Amino acid sequence: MNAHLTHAVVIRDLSRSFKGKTVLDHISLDIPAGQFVALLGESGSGKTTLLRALAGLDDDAESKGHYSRPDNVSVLFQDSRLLPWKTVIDNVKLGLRRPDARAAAEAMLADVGLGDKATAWPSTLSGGQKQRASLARSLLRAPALLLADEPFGALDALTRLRMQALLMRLVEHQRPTIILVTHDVDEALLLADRILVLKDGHIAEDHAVSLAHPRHQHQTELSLLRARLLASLGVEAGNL
Amino acid sequence: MTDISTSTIVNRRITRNADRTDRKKPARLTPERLPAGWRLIGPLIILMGWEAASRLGVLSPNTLAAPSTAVRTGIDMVLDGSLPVHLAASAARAYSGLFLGVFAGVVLALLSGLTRTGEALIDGVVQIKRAVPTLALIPLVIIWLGIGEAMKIFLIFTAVLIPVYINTHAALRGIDIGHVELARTLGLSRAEFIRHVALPGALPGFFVSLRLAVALCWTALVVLELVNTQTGIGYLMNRARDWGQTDIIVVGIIIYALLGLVSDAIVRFIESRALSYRRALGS
Repeated sequence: MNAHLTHAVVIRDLSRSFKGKTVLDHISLDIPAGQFVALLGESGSGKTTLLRALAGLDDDAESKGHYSRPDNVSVLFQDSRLLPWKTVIDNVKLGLRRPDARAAAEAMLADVGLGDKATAWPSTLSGGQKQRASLARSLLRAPALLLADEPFGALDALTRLRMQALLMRLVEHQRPTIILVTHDVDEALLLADRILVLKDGHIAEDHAVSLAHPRHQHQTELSLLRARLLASLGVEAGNL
Repeated sequence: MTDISTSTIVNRRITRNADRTDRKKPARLTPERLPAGWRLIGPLIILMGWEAASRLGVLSPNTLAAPSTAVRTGIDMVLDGSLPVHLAASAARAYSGLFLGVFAGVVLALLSGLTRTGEALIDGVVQIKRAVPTLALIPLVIIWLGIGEAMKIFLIFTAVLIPVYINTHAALRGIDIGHVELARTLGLSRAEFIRHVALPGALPGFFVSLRLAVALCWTALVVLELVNTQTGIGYLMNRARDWGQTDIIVVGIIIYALLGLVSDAIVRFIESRALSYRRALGS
């Protein structure tokens, strides 16, 4: 099929249920290579389940349907999941089999602003620094597909803005396909090329956001879309 | 007149309010931290009471020797060379059993914690062995191995193996599922996962078991040195019992206490080195 050549991710009739409870209900989705997709939805809408299905981390689910995606996938978790017994740099290059892994990891750490923390223990890092290290670990593998599960959800507002800018700067060169699960409508609006809203395990809305980067929250096109997205997530914009 | 009295009342009210703001700090519900060394106050009082009772003749040497007498006896025994010989004999037994038990316990825990076949074959057996007190095995082991050194080392070995296995196995099974998922998404091989994630993650549990094992190997020794031996601290204490030498019995007790404390300190030192990442924040 032609679609497989231009699309990084092709999902057909994908269903997942846990102990008889359906969480994903016949999802079909094509994502072109290099597209930044934000996945919005209320808690329990199935967005994390979809991400974990693509990451191959759902052994305990009853599965139907199929998908294709690149082999080279990185996952960015909400909790940074750094191993506490390894220094920051050893965490970043964990599992990397390239001979120049250490040098590459050092360069990547410098890139995320942790050049001086390479030999520090993860427990000495702040939440934002941990997530920078986690981002460095993901991008060092130059993934074709980056799956991010609310990576900035636990950070304070200012740190979150800095991390969003950092992510955009870093993926500018690599151009991986990105699927970002988020609760944050503004994050989706500022970062994504396309915003999907999941509801009860199916895709309820699919919006393209063609505005150039960098974006600002107060751009008219974004304001209109924000009101719509919030409404579809059950929040009336007028009440804010 | 009225003016003055009102102003006093107002003043009084102000002071009372000031008092109240002082008192606003919530009551301290937990005791304050103990200054260094204060922990020794209790033992020192007991020691002084014991010594005083001996000197005043309340405590007969036939019942319990005075601490000062025991210390003098201990020094004499070190000087005439008898104590070091017995101590070396006991240490050789305790540490051979400890080494073998820790080694076997870790190997079994790894087999059982990292493979399904291993868990099916090993875990049930060890859990049953756990329910049987080691000392209950003495008669059987004497029939098998005689009453020599092999029997004593074997029994220490089986006593030590259990806590090492239980704690290390539990640590391996209780591995953080988030770390397992991470290892999978990073594409680690099984060998890499064991080396970088499973083993370092189980290390704190292993050290807990090592401290239990070190205490246990000396405890088992006390009983085992009752059986057919001419050397060891336990033998020394039993012979002293026959001759009513309470000072030597006290020396033995002090030596066991010291060995326990020193062994524990050594394990804790190794632990703090191996798990230095935990102290990173100075906690």
